[in-house]
This record gives sequence, structure tokens and C-alpha cells, in this order.
Amino acid sequence: MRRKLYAFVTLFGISLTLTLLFATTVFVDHIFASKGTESKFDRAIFAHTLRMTKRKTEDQSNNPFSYRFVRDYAYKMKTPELVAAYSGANLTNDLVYAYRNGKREPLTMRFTDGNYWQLVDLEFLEGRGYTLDEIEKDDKIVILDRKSREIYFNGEPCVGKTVQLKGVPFRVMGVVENVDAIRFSAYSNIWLPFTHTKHQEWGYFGHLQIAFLAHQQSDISKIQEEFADKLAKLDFSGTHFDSAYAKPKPATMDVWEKHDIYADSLGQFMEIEDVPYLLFGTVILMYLFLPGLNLISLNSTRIMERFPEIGARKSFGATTKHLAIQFMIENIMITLLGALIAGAATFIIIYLINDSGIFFNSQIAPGSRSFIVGIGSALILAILSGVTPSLKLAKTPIVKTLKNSTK
Amino acid sequence: MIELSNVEKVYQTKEIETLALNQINLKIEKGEFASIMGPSGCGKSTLLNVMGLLDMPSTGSVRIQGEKVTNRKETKLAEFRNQNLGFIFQSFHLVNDLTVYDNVEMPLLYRKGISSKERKERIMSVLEKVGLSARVHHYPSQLSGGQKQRVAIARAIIGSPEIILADEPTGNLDSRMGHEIMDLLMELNKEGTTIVMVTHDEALAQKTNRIIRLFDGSLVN
Ligand SMILES: Nc1ncnc2c1ncn2[C@@H]1O[C@H](COP(=O)(O)OP(=O)(O)OP(=O)(O)O)[C@@H](O)[C@H]1O
Ligand SMILES: [Mg+2]
Repeated sequence: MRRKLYAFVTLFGISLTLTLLFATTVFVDHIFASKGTESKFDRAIFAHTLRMTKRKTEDQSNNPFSYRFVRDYAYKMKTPELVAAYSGANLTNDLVYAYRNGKREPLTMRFTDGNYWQLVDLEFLEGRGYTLDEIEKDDKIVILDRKSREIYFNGEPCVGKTVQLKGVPFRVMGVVENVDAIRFSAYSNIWLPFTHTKHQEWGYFGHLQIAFLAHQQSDISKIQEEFADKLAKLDFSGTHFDSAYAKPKPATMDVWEKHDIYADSLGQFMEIEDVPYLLFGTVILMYLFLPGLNLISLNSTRIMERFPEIGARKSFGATTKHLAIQFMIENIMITLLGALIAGAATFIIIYLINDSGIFFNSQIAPGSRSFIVGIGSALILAILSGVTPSLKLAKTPIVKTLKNSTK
Repeated sequence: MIELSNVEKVYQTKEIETLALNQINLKIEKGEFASIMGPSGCGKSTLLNVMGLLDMPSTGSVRIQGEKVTNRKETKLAEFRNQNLGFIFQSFHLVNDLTVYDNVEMPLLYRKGISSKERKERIMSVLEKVGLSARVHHYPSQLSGGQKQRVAIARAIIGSPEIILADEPTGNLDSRMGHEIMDLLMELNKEGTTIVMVTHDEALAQKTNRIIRLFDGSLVN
């Protein structure tokens, strides 16, 4: 009976640990993986900020890019497959308020060029995205998400119809499926041509970030070189600066910058592209280490319970090897069982999170990568928590195991 | 059958050094039923463990059936125990998660070349011998102390060992059950098994062929 209780406690501990691990993996993967609406992002790099300096006075200014810069420099680059410019989806600025049933609903607006629609994979429910030509002809056009269609048109088809935004009429060109708010480059409720931003442009400074899509991942450094070259040849006449710096970086950095986890100044001292991976590594290790320790102690106490059994088995001819194998198999079985339970629990947790919408309205879907990492860490955990106690236990001298239970 | 020459056992702990066995020279003959007696802490269990190859002497040598067994490797010792020795413990040492059947089967699992059919026959026959045929699928927790010890005896004899070593086999039992167990052991002895038993019970010891008395790690004559 005692043994059953111990086995239950162990199983519970393992399941809990693995659930924690699995859920974290799924979350991390969800946030950082290029998938869904950002499926092309693993071959894209992003420039958010342009730093312009006057060398003599060390006058410095950091801002997003202006459309003038995008048009005269970025669009003209040869190495990228696509260059897209768009405002950062700032969750607090650039809001428009709509009213539904007397309730005020804030809707996020994003300002984009025409190429943006080739950068992200938004799912169009009706209509399509706009092009640069269409913006130049008539820029009073708009793309809505399902939510804003719900609010403005009661969910009815609305392409070709007009919607009033801050008192200005816009023609709806398309409606897309709602976007996860965690997809920082794709998320919005309303998309408008960049010409409508209220932000002022000032030389090369404006409100746009630039995405460069490479033909393939290996082209990324070529794009960075060409971009640096463009900056070196920047025409400074009419500005009071004489040097400019910006470096497009991969999407993983995107999230960090947006979250201000990475201060701009830090970037001046070190290349921190690797920092997120390093951080993850550490977090995952911690996750493995603490429960690993916990499991070792769990296993060890469970194992003390087994001294009489070990004493008997060894007396009657079991070798250390026999017992080590026996305990290891037991451990792996219990860890696998724990992994099964944890897997089910993780799915339930994710379902509840998705259903409640507490995580940015995000629809988390466990991908194959989290599956692999999950199974891998479960195995590491099994070995980490199983091998040491199993070996130690199997090696216990017979007299010790006999003594413990008689006295 | 069992021969100890100049056996000493020293336990070294941080504070003190205990001489648990001191210059033991002892011969157990084939077919003998010997009991070991002496006050608590005098080294009875240590002596039995050394005889049973569960523990190694600090100095001296142990011969069993004429073979020198000290200095053998762990796996060889395990094999030797499995083939030649059977153990009975004061607190039974049954595996609580296993049925009576599985507990009794244990020694055969570490022996090669016995079919499951033969295993089954042997298990049923030893269980019959100890009078537990009706308890095959019970768990140890469902048995009385005397029944548990009879399961332990069945396990000790399933491999047909020549020698049985019992450390206070009646120590946890009332006197009626103790006598039952003693009768079983005497029957086994009559059939030819050599038995060495540690006991505190003078009456039980008197039933054996020979009483070995220990005091402070030394034999007393
Ligand atoms: N592992 C050990 N480490 C240190 N000292 C030990 C160890 N095992 C036994 N001893 C000591 O050796 C001596 C003999 O112990 P042993 O267990 O053989 O006594 P015993 O005669 O069986 O006693 P009891 O009748 O209480 O079972 C005791 O003084 C004991 O404290
Ligand atoms: Mg003892």
C-alpha cells in the first residue's frame, strides 16, 4: 500500500513537472516560431530604427524610417525578394474606437505599403490586399479583420462598402481572419495605406519599419551588406547629420525589441542575436534541473522503501546489473506514463487558454517542434532522475539493505 | 560443508572500530542443523552473513562445499548464492507488490534455463510443502506473520539449495507459529538440507544438533 502511494506521488510529480515543461515549450514555440501568419519570417530580417549621428557634436537621433527612405533606398535594393514597410503594431497608439451595443471597442490600426500583403500570410475571408499602385490612385482604402467586420457590418460581407474611420470614409478592399496578437508584425484589426498616418515625416525619419524577405536564409547576410552599403551612400544634404546606422535583424529579435527586454544601448556593445537562444537554453535547463532534482529525491525516497526487496533479490542471486536494469525500466515506464498524462494536461491547458483568450486572444497550436522538444526533455528527465538513483540503489551492499529493515 | 578459517570482521565507523567477529574457526558439517546463540550485538548476524556470502570477512577465508569463495567477483558470488544457498530473514523480506506466487518464483528468475512450466510446477510443489497452496494469489499484506515466513521458506527452498541460512526466523512470530516454522525447518533438515539458524530462543536451539555460542565476536566453548 505504501509503495502504491509512493508510486502515485512520483507519478504525480513527474506529470506535473512534464506538464510545466510541455506547456512552456509550446508557449515559447508559439511566440518565437515562424508560423501561421508569419510563416515566411525565418527568411526575413527587420530594421526598426535608424540612428543618425552628427560626428562632431555627437548629436544623435533614433527613429523609425520615413517613406522617403523606403522609396529612395530600401525599395531599390537588389538582393531581397521583397521589401515591405509598415508601422509597428503598437497596442496602445494608433487606435480607433468603435461602438457596439453602447460599449467602446478599441481597434488597432496598422499603416502599411502594398508589399506588406506579400510579407504576411493573412487569410482573406473576402476581397484582397491593396497594392502600391492602388494607394497612389486612391488611398481611401482599408482592410478589416473579422472582429472589425463584426463591429462595423454585423459580420455581413462588406467588400466595396464604406466605413467611417475618425470621420473619414474608407472603401473596404478585403477582410481577413483575426490575427494572434502575439504575431507582432501581422497583428492588427484595421490595415490602412501608410499615407494615412498622423505621424510627421522628417527627412529619413518617419513611422515605418522595414522588412526584407530573402530568397533563402543564406541570403540574409548579403541583404545586410547591401543595406549597410545603401546607408553608407545616404545623401545627407538637407539633414544636419553626417552618419547613419541601422541593421536589419531576424524575427526572433523582433519580439525582444518590441518588449523592451533588450535595451537599445545594449545592442551597441554586443551582438545579441544569440541572447534569446541563450536565455531559452538557460530557462529550459532550469526547468529540467529543478524538477530533475526533485525527482531524484522523490526516486530516492521511493527507493529507500525498497531496501527489503533489494536485500531479498540480491540474497537470492540478483546482481547489481539485474537490479539497475529493473529499476531503470520501472523509471522509464513511470516517466512515459507521466509524459502521457502531462501531454493530455497540456492540451487541456492550451484549450482553456485559447478558449478564454487571456493570452492576447492568441490561438496556440502545439507544433511538431514543441513535440520533439517535449519528448526530448521527458527522456532527459527520465534519465537524469532515473539513472542516478537506480544505479545507487542497485549498488547498495546487501548487508545494508538487510539491516535497515530489521532494525 | 561450510568452513571458516581465522575469520575476522571489523566495522570501521568515524568514531569507533568494532571487531564484530574475532578469530572465528568453524566448520558446519553436511546435514547438520546448527543454531547460533548469544547476546544482542555479539555478531550473530555478521557471522551468518559471512557464511552466506552476503558480506565479506575483513581477514580469513570462507570455504563452502570445499570451494574457496572469498575474493570472488560480485556476479560469481550472486550466482553461487542462487545455486547453493537459501535465506530466511527475521522480517521476511517479501516484496509487497508481488503475489505469493511471484515472491516464491524470484530465485528462479535469476537462474538460466528453467521453463515457465517447470517453474510453475516447482512453485506449486514448494507451496504445498509449506501448506500455502490455497494462498497462491494472495499478497503478503493479506497473510499472517507465520504464513509470511512460510512463503519465505518456500522461496528459500525453491532453488533446492544445499544450505539454508536463517537469521532469527521466529523472531517476529508468537511461540505457536514459531514452533510451526521450526517444525518445517526440521523437516527440511531431515530431507538433507544443511541449516544454520540464529535464534534467541533456548528451547528452539535445544532442538537442533548443535549450538554455537558467540560472545563479543568470539566463539565460546
Ligand atoms: N554496518 C555496520 N557498521 C558498523 N558496525 C556494525 C555494522 N553492522 C554491525 N555492526 C556492529 O557489529 C556488532 C555485531 O552486530 P550483529 O548485527 O552481527 O549483532 P547480532 O548478534 O546479530 O545482534 P542482534 O541479536 O541484535 O541481531 C554490533 O556491535 C554492531 O553494532
Ligand atoms: Mg542480528
